[in-house]
Amino acid sequence: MICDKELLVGYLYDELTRSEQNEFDRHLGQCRECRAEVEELRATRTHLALWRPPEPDLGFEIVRRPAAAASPASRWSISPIWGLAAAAVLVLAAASAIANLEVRAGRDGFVVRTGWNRAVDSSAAGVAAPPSESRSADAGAAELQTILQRVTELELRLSRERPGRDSLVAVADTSATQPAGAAKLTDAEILKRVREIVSESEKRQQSVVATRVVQAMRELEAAYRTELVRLQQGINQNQGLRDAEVYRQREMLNQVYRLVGQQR
Amino acid sequence: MMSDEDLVARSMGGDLDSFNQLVLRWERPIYALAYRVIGREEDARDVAQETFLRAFRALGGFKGQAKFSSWLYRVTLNLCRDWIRRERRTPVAQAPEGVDIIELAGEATPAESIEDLVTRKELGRAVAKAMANLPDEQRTAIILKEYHGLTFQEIADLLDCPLSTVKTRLYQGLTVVRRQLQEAGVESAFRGPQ
Repeated sequence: MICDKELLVGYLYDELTRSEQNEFDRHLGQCRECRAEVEELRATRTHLALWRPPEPDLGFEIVRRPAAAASPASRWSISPIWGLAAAAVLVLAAASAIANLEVRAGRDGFVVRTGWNRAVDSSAAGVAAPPSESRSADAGAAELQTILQRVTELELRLSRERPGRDSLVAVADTSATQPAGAAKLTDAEILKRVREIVSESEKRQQSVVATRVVQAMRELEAAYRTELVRLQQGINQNQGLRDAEVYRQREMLNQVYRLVGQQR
Repeated sequence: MMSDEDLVARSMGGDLDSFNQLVLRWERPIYALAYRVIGREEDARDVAQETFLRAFRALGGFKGQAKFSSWLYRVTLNLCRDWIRRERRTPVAQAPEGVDIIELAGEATPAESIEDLVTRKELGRAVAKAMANLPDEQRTAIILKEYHGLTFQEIADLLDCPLSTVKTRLYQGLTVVRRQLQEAGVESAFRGPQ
């Protein structure tokens, strides 16, 4: 039998069939070179086992993000003007959410919520809330309703001008119907109206939002400072004791190591 | 304990906890594979993390022809290859310059002297260096065989190459490592585990 390196590797890793192994055993009995090579490669494998990766801090975990709100808009074909109207509504919704107002577009129209989980509609109007928060939230809701009504008016006018288009903006209140004989609007006029609506809303929401942001920042800063002081006290307490102990142990072990080295 | 296949089936049904059990089970081997292939601790951690993210996203495409672990290994090796290509680097043997006696003492077995510990650390560093000098194919074959216990056939499937090629790469790689360790004087200096 000639020296077959594939068989040698198979023998080394114990991956030969019974007959191959017997055959190679017989070969090793006759071939000093292969015998030496198997021994040396076994030693190399022993050395390879000593290469260890550092112990990492892993703890991976897959976390699902909260599901995004359903986006019925994807079903619709959106013209530039409708896109603008949609953007305006989104801006209003974002501003309102910061000021504790929530606007959701559903199949049946807009759902408006104010405060913490309090609906503005008549069915939930009786839920108790702090007076100041309730006033600002109700005022915001009323303002929003007005704005939405105006957006709806725009929508209805455009629907008359461009029949056959799908509607992006759901109707907030079916009683808010379009006044009869409304004039046709050009794109530029619509653009202007939408900008006005956004601007008005921004101004009114600004003060409410600013007050709440400042309040939140103050609370956060106070909590941070308290925690910092507490941590610092703990660290100062432990540091002195620990440093001395670590230094003593390190000195002792290094001395042992030096003595062992000298005795070699 | 549930098998990988059971956990995969549950994960595919939307059970996130089952997938996280797979992550917990395989994060260390995957990290170790990435570390030995690319040689950098932080990057290996990133590769391991990305491996699980990709696996999770592609779980629907896992048909179960191969073992889940083999599938993970394949994703990891692809990411390592991307990393090496992107960084245009050869893998490095990353090791601290000095020897910290305190750290070593913590790793010592009761029967092991500090002297043996130091020698073991130095040998590990020499092995890492020798491995880093190998061509990618030989290094990968040795890593999969030595540290992950894959069979020749599993390695061949993973690397898309014939069985005989795997054996040749292993033989050549081991021979080069052996020679480099001898040249570094390691073989004679180290007595090996008792």
